[in-house]
Amino acid sequence: MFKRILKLEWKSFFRSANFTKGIAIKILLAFFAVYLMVCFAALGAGAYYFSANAVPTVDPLLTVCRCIVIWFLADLLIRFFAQKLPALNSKALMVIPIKKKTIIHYLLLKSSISAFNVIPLFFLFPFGVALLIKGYAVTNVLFWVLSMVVLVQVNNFINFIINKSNLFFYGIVSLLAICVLVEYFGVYDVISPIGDLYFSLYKQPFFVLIPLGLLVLFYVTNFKNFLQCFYLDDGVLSKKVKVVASSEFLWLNKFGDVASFLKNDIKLIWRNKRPRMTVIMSLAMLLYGLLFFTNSIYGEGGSVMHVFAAVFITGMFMMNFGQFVPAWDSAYFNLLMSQNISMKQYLNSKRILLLLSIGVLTLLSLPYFYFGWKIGMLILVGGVYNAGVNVPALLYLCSFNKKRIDLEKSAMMNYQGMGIAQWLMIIPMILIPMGVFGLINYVVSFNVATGVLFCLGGVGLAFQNYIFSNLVVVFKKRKYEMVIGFQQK
Amino acid sequence: MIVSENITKIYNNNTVLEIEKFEIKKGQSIGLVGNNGAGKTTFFSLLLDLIRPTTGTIKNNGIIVSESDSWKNFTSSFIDESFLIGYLTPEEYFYFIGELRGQNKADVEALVSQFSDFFHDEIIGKKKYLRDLSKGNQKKVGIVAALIGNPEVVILDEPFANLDPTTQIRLKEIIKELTQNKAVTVLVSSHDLSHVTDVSDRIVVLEKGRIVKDLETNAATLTDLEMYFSN
Repeated sequence: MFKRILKLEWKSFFRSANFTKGIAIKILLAFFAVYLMVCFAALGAGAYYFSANAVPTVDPLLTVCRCIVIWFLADLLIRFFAQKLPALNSKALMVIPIKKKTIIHYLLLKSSISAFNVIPLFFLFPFGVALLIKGYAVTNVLFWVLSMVVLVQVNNFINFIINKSNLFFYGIVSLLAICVLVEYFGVYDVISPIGDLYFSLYKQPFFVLIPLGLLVLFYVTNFKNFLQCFYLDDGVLSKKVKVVASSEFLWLNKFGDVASFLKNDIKLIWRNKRPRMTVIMSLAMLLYGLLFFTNSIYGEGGSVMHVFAAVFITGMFMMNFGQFVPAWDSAYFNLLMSQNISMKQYLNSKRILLLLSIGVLTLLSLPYFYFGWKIGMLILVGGVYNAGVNVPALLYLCSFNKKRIDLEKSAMMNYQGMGIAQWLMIIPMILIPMGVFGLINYVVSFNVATGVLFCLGGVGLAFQNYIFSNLVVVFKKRKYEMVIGFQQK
Repeated sequence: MIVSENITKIYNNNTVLEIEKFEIKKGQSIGLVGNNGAGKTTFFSLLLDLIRPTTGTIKNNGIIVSESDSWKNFTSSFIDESFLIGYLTPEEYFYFIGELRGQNKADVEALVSQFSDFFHDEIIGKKKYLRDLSKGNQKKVGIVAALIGNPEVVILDEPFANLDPTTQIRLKEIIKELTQNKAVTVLVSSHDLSHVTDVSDRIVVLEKGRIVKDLETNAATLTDLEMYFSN
């Protein structure tokens, strides 16, 4: 039976509509995965020597064991946000004669070969080899590595239990916070004893039974949980329906004929996971400036990297949200295209939204004047450049968007909707302002370089109506492709 | 009201629609029937300028739909769930459509309140997003939204499918009321022959993209259609 389910999965992977289309992104992801593996392997191979150097008085294996305590906790946190139980078209399988138990076993086993569990192996195996080279007892090392692999799997199954309720999550977070505080203030050393436990797994090979026992315990707990709630209206397969409050945003009415769209966009952003994350990310990125403006390796007040930071932090929302512009509305694009509105009004509402975001982010960045007037000026100029050059450039590139976006999926590691436009964006967004500024700053002066960027933005703003009416024509031409593209799931 | 000339739509050498001349007079209610793949939805999509015809033009009240947007002022439609905004409550969705069609909140509320029995207390004031409603209730919202703003042309693709019997009967009354003054042109497609003959004064049968029958509705139409489709 497993074989048949596997066949289904295989087909669903290779026959999915965007399999060939997203090949560039898949290659990029593959590179990223290889990069991670190499990093982990290097870390594994080197860990013994690092620890021997860092803490010469302690057995390096013991030092690594203590670090692993923190790794496992961090792993659990990352899993909570990023790892979900592998989806399978369970609804279709529920009514055909496959045993429920088989499906659940399959789902659970499939989860244990996820990247979260495979990548740690790239650390553990080289580390084990390093131990063997250094003359640690062979049996003990083998069983220690086995124990660690099993513990990674234990984490895997703990995660699904935690995922069921936020209570567990807050429990883990507060436990972690307490540990860190206790450790930090030296009240009680928590990490070392747990590290010692891991170390004892090396000393006594038969202790491997403990992680194995835990694994069985958590596997069975998960299995029972899923078996109980393997119904459409319960647990894994259903989504909770929330009671919601209507909201009006009357203050937006002053934007005239595009007000209804702006209100809609604000609802879109607050009520859907993925766009909401882009807002939170944009606000968090405001702090990114600190990294650039306080660190002298990026040069003193007014370097090329500062231009990058200024454009980046004031335009973060514009880039993050703007890059997918018509695609956010992909689920109901047909409605918008057959309603009593012109493409011009529609695009204009998006443009106003992006301009508003640049205004707000620029205002919020003003405290960076603290780091000198040059940096302050760059932020203001960055805002103007974003508004004048980047917004039209971005909207033009958006006319190539024809990939659907599901609003309710998380934004983390989500490449849905990505296409060539997202890569081309980098040129006007970042390379041009950095290049122009760098060159003129080098040849003439900071003031002239800033002035030129400001003028570029100013020219864009002065001709915005002309540029905009051309954009509308481009969008009208591409509309039909969008209609088809946005329908494809 | 609607004139289509030499319309064809070809996908990869596969002709899905080929209609030489098709004219709908103002105030007519047209029922479009045909088996799956006959081209009903393709025709509606062409009419709404969501896809482009391979050849030919469609005029809606004298306006070529692919050249100007102004037909949208008086045309409204509900084709499928891609016409619903999932993250709005039904009320918000009605107000949104109302705003686009120049109706204020009070206008929209007045219109929507006429449909309280159609909604059967399952839609208004439930504080749920559209995406959390059942398929049938979503459909009701879409159909009522297509009636906002006194449209002169109303296009409904398979409005009877997925609805319960009470609602189907109520929907027939709604469509009949809409057309009784001969001011609103209604286009309805359906697989339910009896419903569609009930509400339309002209039935057009499509088969493999061509019009094979074009009948004024009378007492014998339903039997005619049943005969036709059973062969």
